[in-house]
Amino acid sequence: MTHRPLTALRRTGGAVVLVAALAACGQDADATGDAAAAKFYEGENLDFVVPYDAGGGYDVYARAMAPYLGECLGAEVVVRNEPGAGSLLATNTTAKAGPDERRIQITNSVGTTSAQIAGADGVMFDMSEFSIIGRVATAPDTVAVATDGRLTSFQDMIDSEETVRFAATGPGSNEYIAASVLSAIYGFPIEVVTGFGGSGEARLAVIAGNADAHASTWDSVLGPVESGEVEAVVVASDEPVELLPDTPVVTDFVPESDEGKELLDDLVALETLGRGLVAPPGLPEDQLAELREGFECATSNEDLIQELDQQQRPIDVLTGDEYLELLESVLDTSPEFAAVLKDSF
Amino acid sequence: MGEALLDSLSQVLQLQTLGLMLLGVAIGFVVGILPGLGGPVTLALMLPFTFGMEPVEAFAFLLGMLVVTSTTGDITSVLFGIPGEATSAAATLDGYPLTRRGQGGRALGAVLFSSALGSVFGAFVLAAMVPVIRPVVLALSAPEFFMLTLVGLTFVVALSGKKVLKGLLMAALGLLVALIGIDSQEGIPRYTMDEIYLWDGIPLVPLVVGLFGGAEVLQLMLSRSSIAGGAGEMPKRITGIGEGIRDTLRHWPVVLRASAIGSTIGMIPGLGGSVAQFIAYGQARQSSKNPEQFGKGAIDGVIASGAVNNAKDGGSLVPTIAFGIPGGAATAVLLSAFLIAGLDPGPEMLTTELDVTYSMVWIVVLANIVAVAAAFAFLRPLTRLTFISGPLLVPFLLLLLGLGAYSSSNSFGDVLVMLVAAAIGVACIRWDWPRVPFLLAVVLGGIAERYLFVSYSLFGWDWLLRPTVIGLAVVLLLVFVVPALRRRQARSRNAPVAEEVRS
Repeated sequence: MTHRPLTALRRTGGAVVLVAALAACGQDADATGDAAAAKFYEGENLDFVVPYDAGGGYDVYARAMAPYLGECLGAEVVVRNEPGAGSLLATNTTAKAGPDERRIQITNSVGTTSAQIAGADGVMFDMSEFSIIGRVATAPDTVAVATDGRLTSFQDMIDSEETVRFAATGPGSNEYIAASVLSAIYGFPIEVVTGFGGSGEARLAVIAGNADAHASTWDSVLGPVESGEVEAVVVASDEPVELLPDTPVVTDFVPESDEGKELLDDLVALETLGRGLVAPPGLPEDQLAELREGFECATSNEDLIQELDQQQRPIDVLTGDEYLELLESVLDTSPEFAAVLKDSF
Repeated sequence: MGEALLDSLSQVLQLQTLGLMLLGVAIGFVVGILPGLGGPVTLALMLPFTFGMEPVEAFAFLLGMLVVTSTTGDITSVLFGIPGEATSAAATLDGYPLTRRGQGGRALGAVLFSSALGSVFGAFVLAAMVPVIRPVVLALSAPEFFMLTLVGLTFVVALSGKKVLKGLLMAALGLLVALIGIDSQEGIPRYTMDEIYLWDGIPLVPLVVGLFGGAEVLQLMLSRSSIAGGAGEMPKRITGIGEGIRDTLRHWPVVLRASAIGSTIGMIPGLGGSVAQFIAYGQARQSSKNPEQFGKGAIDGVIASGAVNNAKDGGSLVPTIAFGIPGGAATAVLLSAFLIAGLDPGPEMLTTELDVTYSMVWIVVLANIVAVAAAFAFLRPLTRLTFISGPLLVPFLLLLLGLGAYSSSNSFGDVLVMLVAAAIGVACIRWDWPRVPFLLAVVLGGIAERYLFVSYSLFGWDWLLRPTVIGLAVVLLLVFVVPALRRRQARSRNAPVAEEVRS
């Protein structure tokens, strides 16, 4: 019988400890609950989706940023390639993802926004409804011609009576859009030859003299320009590209018609969208704020800036708010521009 | 040229460079064995580590890794019938039947040794191409590529064996499947059933993994024995590796022809290894003394698939180095490495940076020799796996299959494609319909269509008059005429063909 009080005591003691522990847990739970509200991504895995195969420009940016973003967010950032339908597949998936999914995506905003404006097949997103984190870089399309080809400058192209033949992978690609919009602005006749297996192959057709010109993002044309294969004749932007100092910008060439002038403004605005970073639509405010802070923290890191510079892929950041504003203004475009884009799909 | 070659060799042989290459080889070794997890993704993962490396060091690391994946990809193909890479499917066709008969050691010996020889051949082609690389690549355009796809399609006949009608039907089915996706001319979705996933067509990796690997695993599940179950008890020692090497040496013309096919097709952007393997395999069957053994465990089929696979790597570097045009996904990543190293692919790679180009030649050769030597050391434990009972091994293989299908583009659609392909594969095996003509048509159909339209858009009907097109048309004719003549000759001789039935 003597052991009973002891057991009882022990039991009570145990209970006290248990209650204390529970209370502590409760407190902990509260504390972590608060923290979780503020730090949704900390200590978790975050998927950083690239809508293309490994090895392209988008992939390079994502893989360079991932470790820095991870450090800033305290998260494990994992790069995932989800190629398909020229980036529409992954972008649709992001649009469908719930706000509780830890997923961000780098976007080919020039391509996806054009597709949305044109009302193209397969678009199941609204660019302005994404939770916008910011812009990573600009990627204005740049027209390249063969070094010893028939056309030596963009003025030549504008004045050309003969059909200018652009090479492209397929309708709806950025290279197709840039070519047909430029032709609409300046009124020179074009034919877009499609079916090339990739941008490189299309450019090779220009180098071999089988096509006249090829439009692609300035950073992908940089290598061939530096090795002397092609000449970059115009950048679809109002600001010159630092690494292509000799290439004029498209706003240097004034279109003849007023309609052309308006289309030019629309094109320049579209091209500044560049490479964006978005999260699924409807993210709670604090969650989006956490991502935006992480993004700003990562992109202001000198090591990252230097690392990307070394790969000739410089960053050109816009904050989330600035980028959203830009996106909305581009989406609210003129019916004329929308009609030109429609012809590219 | 000789001096530059020696110079670059001494650069590659520096301690640090060699160490980086060995590290790359080790990583590539494992990646190659795992199906699906392919060279391109691994390269992209490793790219950031090359910051601050000298160009030759960076390529020793990356290229060493890349070329080894295609070598060790064959190991999975031969042992488990699951292609380790999309380019290793041909190795399953005869390598796996040999393993099922308990001759896995011999098949591996042959496939690895011919891989090593093939890589040396491919590297030699790359080195020899240097003076003529640019005019040759510039002379080839869409019309030539289109004609080459036609030449490739004629191999449907060779790959169907005695079942020519069945083979042609399977090829027709394959061409229909190749129509799925957005057409590149008008941008209209064809047979995509409103699934955006299908816009790019049926993806190759899950198709190959399912058609060959999935079918074999399902068979293994049903048979409930070990892979090498038919061969009886597990032998105390795994033998036959030496025999495989001797087989390879005896069949040296097969090695040579397959390597030539590999390095040529490797040079063409868009075609690459997934096509080259079957053309080399079909060619080996055509010229074999006992073509009826193909598909049942013909050692010359294994040798051809090993050699072609590694010879293509040297070839695929040609357009990348000379023009910065990647021949495939892997070389696209390699292109980023050029920029990181501060190099611009193009003319200067053949003049001022010639030593870097030649160092690539050496890296391809050395990395393969090291990998093959290392593989021989691991062969015994690996081959033992094939004597593990089916029910124990199948879950592990299913995991490999799922991983292989899913990791190619991180999409569940890929797993579905793999499962459907596996079902088709099983049906083909059960009712004896050839799978290879189907796959070849799926791959070539889409490419042929694209290049036909580009040819016409660029040149009008004049493309038919290009000398290289006419030359290839003659080849096309010969492909049909020569075997027919040979058959007639054989018939007229009327001698009973002594069928040397080797295992």
